[in-house]
Order: sequence, then C-alpha cells, then structure tokens
Amino acid sequence: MHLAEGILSGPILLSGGVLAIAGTAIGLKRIDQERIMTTAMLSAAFFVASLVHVPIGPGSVHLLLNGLMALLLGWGCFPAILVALLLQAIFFQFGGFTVLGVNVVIIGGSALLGSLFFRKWLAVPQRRAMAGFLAGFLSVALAALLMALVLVSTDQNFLATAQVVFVGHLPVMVVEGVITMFVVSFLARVQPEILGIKKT
Amino acid sequence: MGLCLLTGFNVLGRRVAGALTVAILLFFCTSAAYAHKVHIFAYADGDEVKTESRFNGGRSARNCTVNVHDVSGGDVVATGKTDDQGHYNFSQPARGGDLDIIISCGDGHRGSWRFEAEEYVAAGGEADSHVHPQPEHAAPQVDDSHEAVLRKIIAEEVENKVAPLRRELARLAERKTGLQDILGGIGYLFGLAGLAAYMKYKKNN
Repeated sequence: MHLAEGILSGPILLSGGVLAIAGTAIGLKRIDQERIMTTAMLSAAFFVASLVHVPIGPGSVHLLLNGLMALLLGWGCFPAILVALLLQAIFFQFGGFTVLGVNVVIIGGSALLGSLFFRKWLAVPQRRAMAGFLAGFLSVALAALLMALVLVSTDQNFLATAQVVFVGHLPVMVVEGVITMFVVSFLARVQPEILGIKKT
Repeated sequence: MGLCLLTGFNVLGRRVAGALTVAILLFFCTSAAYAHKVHIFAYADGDEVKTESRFNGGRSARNCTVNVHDVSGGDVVATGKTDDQGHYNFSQPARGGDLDIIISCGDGHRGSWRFEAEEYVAAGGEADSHVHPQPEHAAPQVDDSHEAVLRKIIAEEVENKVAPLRRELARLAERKTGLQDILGGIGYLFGLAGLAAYMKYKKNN
C-alpha cells in the first residue's frame, strides 16, 4: 500500500503533501491529552502491522489496520499514520519521503471515509462487531481505489490498475475486517473508554 | 493530571505490552513471508543482460514492467515484462553506457538497479579484444578460431559457477528489517507521545 518514490509527478506529490498537512493539523487539534497514549499505541500497531504479509492472492500485500485507527481515533488517525509512515520509510525503506504525503492521504483519508458511518455504531452493542468488520474492510477497499486513482496520473489505465490493486488487496480487506471486528469487540469488553463508550 | 495519565497508562500498558509481544512474535513466525519492496538485479551473460526480480521475502515479481534506461542519454534501451520466475532478459545495447534498470509492478511497487557499463562490456563477446591484448608472439600453432571457442566455453562455465554467488550478493545487499528497526520505531512513537503529552500538559497549565 506504500507507493514507492519516483512514480508520481510533482503536482500530485505536492497536493498530497498539502492535504496530509491539513489532515494532520486537524488531527492534532482533535487529540486531547487522554487520547495521546491511545494514538501512540495505534500508531505503533500500524507501524508493525505493515510487516505482516498476507500470503494470499497475486500481489505483495500486508496488513494496514487503518480502519481500526480511524474508528478509534477519527481525525487523530492522520498524525498517527503520518508518524508511523515516516518511521517505516526510515527503518524499513517502505514508501519514501517525497511520497509521504500522498501515502498518508491514501491510507488515512480512506480510513476516515471508510469508518465515518460506523463510529456511531460502536455505542450500539448489537452493531459493534459489524461496525468493526465493515470499517476494516471498507477502509482497505477505499485505500486500494484511491491508490489506483493516484496511479492513473502516471498514464496507467485506471481499470487495469484498479483491478491489480483491488484484487491484490481483497484478501487483506477480509483479514482486516475480521481483525478490526475482534479488536473492537475485545476493547468493548475490557477497555470500553477507548471506544468512547460507557462500560456495560 | 500527570498522575491520572500515568495510572491510565499502567492499566493500558500491560495490555499493550502483551499485544506488542504478540505482534513481534507474529512477525518472527512469518519473517520468511513478510514482503513489501520489490528488488531487481542484473548481470551480463554472453550477449544478454539477465535480470531477476522479486519481492522482499523471496516471492518472484511476475508480470512487472522492466524499463532499461541509458544513464547518460536518458533514452529507453529496452523494455519488457518479467516472466513467472520474475526474470527478464534483454540483449546488450550497442553503445556501452551505464544502465538504469527500473521495475514497476503497476501497483505502486518500484525498484531499480544501476548496471555499470564495465560489467557487461567485460563479459561481452566483441569487447574482449580491449580487455585481453592479442598475443602477438604467441605460439603460431594456436588457431584463432580455437582460442575464440575456448574463451566462450570458459566464459560460460565461469558464468554458471558465478551466477549463484551473484544472487547471494544481491540478496545480502538488501537491507533486512530486524528487531532493532521495529523496537527503534516503537521507541520513537512512545517518545513522541511523551513529548505531546508534555506539551499539552504545559498548555493546559
């Protein structure tokens, strides 16, 4: 899911950077003192999750956990993803510095969009698991679509690219949905305040 | 406020430490399978340049586009797709300049390899005359055509023996992700969290 350096053109990189800065600024404003540790932990989870390869399907894909982040952090997922991606670029050579902004927007923006409708569902016990699955699934699906859209700018055919990226990420979408579902259900039982709900 | 944060962290800390341990263990169980970047490397074999490419962890990169650029001119010398083993071969360009071999898999994966001119000029057929001065007062009985055949056979045999070494070298040249990188990254994240907490705390008081 990390676009490599040297693929995208200047304007795309620049607009990605601007959007990422805007998202991060909003995110930093929204994180209050009590949420700082949660944000850092999810950022750490995201940082490590990219090393877990999903060995199904044609491509080279790994876990993202972006849906989980957006579900728990809302706009706060932007700074968390930005820092984690920066560290991944430094430590793992995933992605790169110039594409950092675009990668943040692809992963963070899609997660925000993908979990937007399901954050409310967290408070409803019967819908909680469903919310987790759908947010995890949709966030990766949207990220794949957004990535294909960005890659079109490199005069690749959208449908062909979208097919490669989307099909490659189908297994991740399902795995991600299941993981997010379990994490949400688990947190609801042991640490409901992370989800912003009262203990039942 | 700080105390509240501290106790909150204690309760959470144990669970998070558990989760991180699981994540790290998971990583080591699957370390043979983790993958992300695409790597390509090239070597000369006779008149051809062979390239091999694969993702981190050994999966071969299939059906990816390989573009070969001349570094000095910037023009594309050869272009094609990798086969099922991630191999792609092209014939040596006539003009012996350094080459940039770039692989892109259409899904955002991209890797490159700088192939220096001397590597293939030395291995190539015609260029041999530059490398080896013609023996002027050699035994006149040795036929030139025999020598050429012999050179070719030796070159092929040496290439066969050296090919695994090349692969091994290319693999070693890749930077591996280790526990240090992971722990380093996590350390940075928690350090930043501490910094953020401190700044918010200062602002609130």
